[in-house]
Amino acid sequence: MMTRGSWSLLLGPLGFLLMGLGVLFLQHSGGEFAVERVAGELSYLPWLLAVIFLAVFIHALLLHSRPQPDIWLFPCVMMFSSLGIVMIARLKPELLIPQLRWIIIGMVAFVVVLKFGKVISRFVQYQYILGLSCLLLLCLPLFFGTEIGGSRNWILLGSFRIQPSEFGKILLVFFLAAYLSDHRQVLSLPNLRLLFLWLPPLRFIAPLLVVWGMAILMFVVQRDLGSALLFFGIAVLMTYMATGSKSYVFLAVAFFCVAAAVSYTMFDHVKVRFDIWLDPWQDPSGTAYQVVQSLFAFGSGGIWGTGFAHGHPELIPEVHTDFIFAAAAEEFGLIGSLMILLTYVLFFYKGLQVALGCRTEGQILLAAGCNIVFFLQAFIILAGVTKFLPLTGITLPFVSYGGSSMVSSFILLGLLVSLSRKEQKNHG
Amino acid sequence: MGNRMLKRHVLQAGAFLLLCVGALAVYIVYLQFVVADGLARDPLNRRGMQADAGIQRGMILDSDGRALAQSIQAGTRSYLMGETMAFVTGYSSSEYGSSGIEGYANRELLGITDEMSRMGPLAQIFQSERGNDVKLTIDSDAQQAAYSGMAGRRGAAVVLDMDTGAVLALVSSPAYNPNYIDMEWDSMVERQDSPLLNRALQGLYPPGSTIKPMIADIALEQGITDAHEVFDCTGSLDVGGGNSIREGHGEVHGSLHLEQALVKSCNVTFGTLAMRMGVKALKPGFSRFGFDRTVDGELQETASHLPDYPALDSGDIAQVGIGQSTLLVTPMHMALLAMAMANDGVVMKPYIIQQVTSPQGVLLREAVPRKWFEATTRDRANLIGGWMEEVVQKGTGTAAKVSGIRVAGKTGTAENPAGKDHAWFIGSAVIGKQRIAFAIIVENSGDGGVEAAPIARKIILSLDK
Amino acid sequence: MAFVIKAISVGLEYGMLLWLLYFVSRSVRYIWKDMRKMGRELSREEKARDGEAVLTVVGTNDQRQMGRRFALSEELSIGRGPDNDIVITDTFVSHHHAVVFQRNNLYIIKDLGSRNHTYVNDRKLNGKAYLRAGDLIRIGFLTLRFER
Repeated sequence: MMTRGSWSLLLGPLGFLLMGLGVLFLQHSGGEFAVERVAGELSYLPWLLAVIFLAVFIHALLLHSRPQPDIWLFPCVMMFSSLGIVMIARLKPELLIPQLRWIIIGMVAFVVVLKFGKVISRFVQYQYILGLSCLLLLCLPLFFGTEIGGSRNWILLGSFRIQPSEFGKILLVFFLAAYLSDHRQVLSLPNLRLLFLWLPPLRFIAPLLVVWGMAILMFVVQRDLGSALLFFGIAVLMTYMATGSKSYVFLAVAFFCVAAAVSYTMFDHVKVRFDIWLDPWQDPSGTAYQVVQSLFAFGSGGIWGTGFAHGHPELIPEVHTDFIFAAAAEEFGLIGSLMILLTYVLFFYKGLQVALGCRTEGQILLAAGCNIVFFLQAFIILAGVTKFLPLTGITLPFVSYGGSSMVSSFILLGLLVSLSRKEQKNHG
Repeated sequence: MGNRMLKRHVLQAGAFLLLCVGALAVYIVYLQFVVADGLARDPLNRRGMQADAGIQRGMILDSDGRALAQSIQAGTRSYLMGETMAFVTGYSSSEYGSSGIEGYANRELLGITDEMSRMGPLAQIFQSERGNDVKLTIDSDAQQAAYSGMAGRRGAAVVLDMDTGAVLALVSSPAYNPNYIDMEWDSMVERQDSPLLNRALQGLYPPGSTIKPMIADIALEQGITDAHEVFDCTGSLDVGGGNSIREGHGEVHGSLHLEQALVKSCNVTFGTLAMRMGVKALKPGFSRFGFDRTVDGELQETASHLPDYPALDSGDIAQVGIGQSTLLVTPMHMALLAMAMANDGVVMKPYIIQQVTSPQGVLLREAVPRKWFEATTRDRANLIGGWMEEVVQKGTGTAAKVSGIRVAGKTGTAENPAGKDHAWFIGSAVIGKQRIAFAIIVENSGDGGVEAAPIARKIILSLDK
Repeated sequence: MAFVIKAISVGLEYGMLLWLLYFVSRSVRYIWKDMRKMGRELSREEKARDGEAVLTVVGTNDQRQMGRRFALSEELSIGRGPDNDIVITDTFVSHHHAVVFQRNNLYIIKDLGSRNHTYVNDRKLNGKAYLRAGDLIRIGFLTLRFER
């Protein structure tokens, strides 16, 4: 089945991208169009063309492969990437080429995963190997880690900086899908009663407890609050999906609250974050500076925004990674920020369909897990920059600058798209 | 079967996440629609300053059209009267934000209108190269006279036009120089005498005897005394609890009417009146004279610190009657009190921006004088106002006397924990067609009649053109 | 010149918003259609299920199983073995105990030679029998009611 006008799905992202770069070109050239100047201005062109070519190639691949995979997920991702490219070109021009490079690497990884999707989803059998390697990957920074920007979650490999937690989340989704689909019956037939909670024997929930504990550990030791929250959320939501037991959710939330309360009293960085959330106006030019500037960006944007490249989002520190949405909200206004949010919702909706179309329990959980990673991650950072929830630094998938995040997101996307292949058989 | 349950739970989890994002979307609408303007105008939001880059900022002018602040080209700003106008013009710094008119009228000075900021990218088309000019109500001569009258001492002066509420002079001393704000900021912040504090609007002081006209008004309104009652001043008043209040310089006034008590600033009489009226009458009195309101908008005033009524014993009440105790007020509010007594009880809302004009000379906005509140009746205002003229004619305020001009006033010498008494002088004058009200304070300098009243005289002379 | 560039730039800025709007509006239209389609399919399924037969657990030694419903399609197998459609962990039940299947819109139950037999309305089942609405099937401790 080939939807009419499927090719035009790429038009939105492409038009957005080219117009954005056009605005920047006009602004930088300032009315002078001498050859050297233009050439210097457009030094990113080969990389950009490579990205566009790859995007068209991948879309064609998806349109023509049988059984047909989902064709909406990829254009959504291209919309996010376009937004990321123009925002980075505008905020940190020196990072534009690296960002384009990472997108290319990500797309190549995507194609590879798509090709070997069947083989990869068979990894689900090796649950304990998955669990252990996930644990190992996450503990790596404890021993070889470097602290960058207050979080000790980086590993330096030569000139490359890698964030293991970004790849750890892939393994985590795999592990949870494997473990939960295997033990689903046991986990959902509780026989231990604790007050009003029904629980299965301890040995079955032990691996889950380890995952929860690990999230808290990251919270405390690596100071990577965003990843910790993401891991924890994934674990809780996937457990619920597999078992449908509210006891787990209750237990996990209670556990989380206790851990949060303890770390609030014990660790300054947690306390500071929380206090900023409660009242950023206490110290608007000190600890709360970033959040307050972000709020100003939202306010200054108003409904229509200041126009691309005409706001002042550069006043927000780290605007090209965690706070990129605030910059977009300032320059594209309420209209733009709601559109971006809606695109994430569409992406999530399609992912949900993929999960519901899968046949086996393992695949359903895997697809739903991948899907939740994107959406939850987007929610956590968007809620953080708007002060809806306390700020926990994490990238906005496919938009923020960051190599590890970009590549791992494309890998997850590849998984999700490859799992969507069977769907079409059912519906014809 | 099993998969159906699983899929149902997947859907439930998905719905939960969608709900969260829905709530977030509502919150973003709140941020970018409901409170957006407030966030965009927040003084800590430096985006306004950043916008300067390509725009030549408009001029700030005094009431005669003389430039107080101007930009010859984009990015450079000069303040022609420096420290004298520091708290009128304020400063505009990319590093330290902005204050005064530079801060309040920033968007006008940059030529950005409210309509434009709601327009989105289209506004770029309408943005002109040069901002609008802001014309103030300030009279540079009066301002200069008041500032030089301070002679570097700590203090403040406010001069208002009684007919409109227009601010003619707004002086706080010592002052920073807005031309060098970026260079001198650190040393200014460290200085003990706080040259960055706008004392005229944000300084809180005990009013001392300058509160007595109001106490007299409350006493007459309550009917607990009249113009004919004879008080006996023995130089000291027992206020209970072994405490007493005394006259300054150990004076004894003997028998006197309310008029003479005001003219001679008799503490015993006013302490007695305050104790007689009690908290029940004091509280509505203070709010009748607007002490529970603040001037806001273009003149950011600090709220007065009213006495903690329920905790007052009779000694404290007597202290409030002579302007001491925990009562703290701004010079601006004392000028308003003086205005009420000379303006038939009517207080006009103070304002400082007269008009905004475009670079092409088109009038964009003009101030409309507005009655703010009625503090007292015409009869009582005229009665007490007349007594205040006597203060200047033959009482404690003779230093403010100018021949040929009707001047009324009340001196104050406020005790304070910081050292020597604060010298106060509040009052009014009719100079030709212009009717002004003013309040002057010189911190820790001593007697109000000696230190503050001469400054009032200088201001009046400067306006008598 | 400068004004033209400014105008083009503003045009492009609106263009970006428009592309974003275009993409999202297409997406929203798609979701809307998709959801309506799904809704129709669901209601069709519901309707189909109305005429469908089910087996409901009405008696068991395991209270948690009480009231569970099993939809009957072409064929439904009952037994202790994990490859059955209804798995009963009960030592009185054979590995492949019985099967219910459809023939000409009628349902037939067939005992697969179980050791402890299958009972229909408390009568031992010999070979196979047609099921009528309300029939009670007993296998080990489990009692199922046939409904359609």
